[in-house]
Amino acid sequence: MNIAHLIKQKSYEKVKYILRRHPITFVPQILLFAASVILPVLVYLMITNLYPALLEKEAAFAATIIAGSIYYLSALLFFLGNFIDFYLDVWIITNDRIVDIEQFGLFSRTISELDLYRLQDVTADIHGFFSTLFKYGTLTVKTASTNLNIVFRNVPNPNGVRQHLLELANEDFKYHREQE
Amino acid sequence: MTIPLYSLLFVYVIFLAVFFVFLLINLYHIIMTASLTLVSFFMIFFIFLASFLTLYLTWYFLQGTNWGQALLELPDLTGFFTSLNF
Repeated sequence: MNIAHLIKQKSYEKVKYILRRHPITFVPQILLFAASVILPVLVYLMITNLYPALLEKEAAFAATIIAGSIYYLSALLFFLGNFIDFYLDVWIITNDRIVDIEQFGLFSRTISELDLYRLQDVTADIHGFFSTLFKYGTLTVKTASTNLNIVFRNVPNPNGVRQHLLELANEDFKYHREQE
Repeated sequence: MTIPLYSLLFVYVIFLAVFFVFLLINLYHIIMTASLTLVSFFMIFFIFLASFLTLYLTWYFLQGTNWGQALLELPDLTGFFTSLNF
């Protein structure tokens, strides 16, 4: 499946931006995964040094290997789940609308869209040390007529996107006024 | 009462079934949200490679294990199991 099919792209519509969260925001998950990989190795070394007789029995050794295997496969699955949660949050900006696809865990997804000509207020918020250093932040899009607000979380270059979004909204507004 | 070592294999097989179901659900999500890019491809490749390595090492360390031996021998405090006299 491609993006055009996912958003049911109209014939006159052009995709301008496909935004995902900044890769740096995934680094804590990578570090957590690395720590979870190292932890059993440290425990194993500790046991073999403190209680060397504990794993000498074949049954105890086999049980440890199976427990270790279950632990590592679970850690991999948890890491993949975190990646899905991170990577499947997508904001698609076309010359006609904004499509917001947000993944919450494995079994929950929200898809909302907003016409650009209804857009009234766009706020870029770069907050904190890492956000300033790596130039990522939150972009909040508000409309006048509906209660729908779209929040682009931790996207790269939010200010640049904000400016381009306002230009696109202006063009779309002109187009809709000519149509009336 | 004795719990044999092979009972761990049943637990492991059930876990593997759940693991592969969740792996497939994750894969399905990536494909259905048009997110199969180079980044996600490498992530899936890494997960599959690491899973394969874990399974291979599990098999490598456990080959030649006598699965018929006892994992735990629980004391028959009530005398129920000995009275059955199978």
